[in-house]
Amino acid sequence: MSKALVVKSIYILFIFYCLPTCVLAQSIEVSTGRNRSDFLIETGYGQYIQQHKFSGLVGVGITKTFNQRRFNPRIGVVYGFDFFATEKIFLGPTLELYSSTYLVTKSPKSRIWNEELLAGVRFEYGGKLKFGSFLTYGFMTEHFSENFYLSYGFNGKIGLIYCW
Amino acid sequence: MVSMGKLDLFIAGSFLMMSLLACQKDSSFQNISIIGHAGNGLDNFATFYQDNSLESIEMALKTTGCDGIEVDVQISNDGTLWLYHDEKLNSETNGESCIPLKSDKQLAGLNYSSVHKEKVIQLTEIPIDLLSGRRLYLDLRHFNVCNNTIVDLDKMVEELVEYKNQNSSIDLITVTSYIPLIEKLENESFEVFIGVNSIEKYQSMKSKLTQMSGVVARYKDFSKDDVSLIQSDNCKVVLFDMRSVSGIRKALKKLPDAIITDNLKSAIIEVE
Repeated sequence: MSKALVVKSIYILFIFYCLPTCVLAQSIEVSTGRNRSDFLIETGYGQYIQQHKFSGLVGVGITKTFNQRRFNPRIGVVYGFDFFATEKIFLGPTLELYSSTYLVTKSPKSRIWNEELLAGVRFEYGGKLKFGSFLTYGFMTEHFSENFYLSYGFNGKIGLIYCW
Repeated sequence: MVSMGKLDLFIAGSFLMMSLLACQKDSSFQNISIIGHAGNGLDNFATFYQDNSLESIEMALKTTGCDGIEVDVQISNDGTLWLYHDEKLNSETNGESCIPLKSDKQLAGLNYSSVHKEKVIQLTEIPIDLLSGRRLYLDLRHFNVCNNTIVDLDKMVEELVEYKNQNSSIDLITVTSYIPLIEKLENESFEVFIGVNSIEKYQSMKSKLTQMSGVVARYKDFSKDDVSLIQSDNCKVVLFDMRSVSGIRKALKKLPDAIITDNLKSAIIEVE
């Protein structure tokens, strides 16, 4: 491969991936889904910076919070990268970090904490109002008292995203 | 400003009362023991570890509110007791054939075909210190499907007696529905719970045995009246096979003496 071809390839890749394309800079979203321990409902705020998207999310585990009356909050930060850089479609890899907690017993007080570090695919489609779906897989920890466990985790969600 | 009428106040008050009542849990559940099925649960993807593995057992026994565990016991060709649920090894591990046809050396090299590749363990590997003040249910498997024979019951009971003598602090309950094994266990003063799948089966077993200290059954197979009928015979009732919160609630409402659950933490929350 000639040197010129390599330079051209790098230039094309730079144009394709790095030019700012998303005119919609901010977003709010609501989503529902499932991770390894519960069904979830979440809301969050996102910021698009060129082809990157950063989001902060807060949510609750549905079964534990509403069915078992054990408040099960989950907070998370999400990073996504848009491969295609079109206005209508956001598709690419995503990285998610979550932390959640709930009480198992009140007396004696025993609280369980879960952390999740997940990677997968993020897909958004639409204009100002987008449909989104996310599927990720990775690590999940569970710890309580002095006990720590590490296993696999997953997160599947669908949601609506409003951009402006 | 719109003032609230009497009807509005009544409706609001009713909702408040209903909410408060809904938040009150049935205190009679607090006497029901919560037992982890095969450690921390079986066939439940929320469970971190493979059933009957050391990791699963430890995780269950370290959970506050867990009153004990149930494990599945099979005897090897060398006469040692191993923990394994299925009939054939290839369904859950990297091995083949059945536990009763395998030597201890062969079994010691087996791993489960799970994410964590946990080891298949012996009964004696359960950490005794974690069992202090808790119950250990041993579901005894007497049949070898690989050659359609009954395993060496005398050797199985002999091993159980040795285990019991070495760990006298453990609250041990054996579970089986095989009458020759029940008789051998009772001769050695084991507490034996009988596995049954209907009230008719319970009545039939009751007529064949001199005493029954408890039964173990799927929660869907027995109504609340069935449970109370058996308890009136001075026989304890243990229900199992519940994973969802609704399944756990249905089982608890039948007021058994214990439930063996695949969703340990949800069950603990329900009885608190």
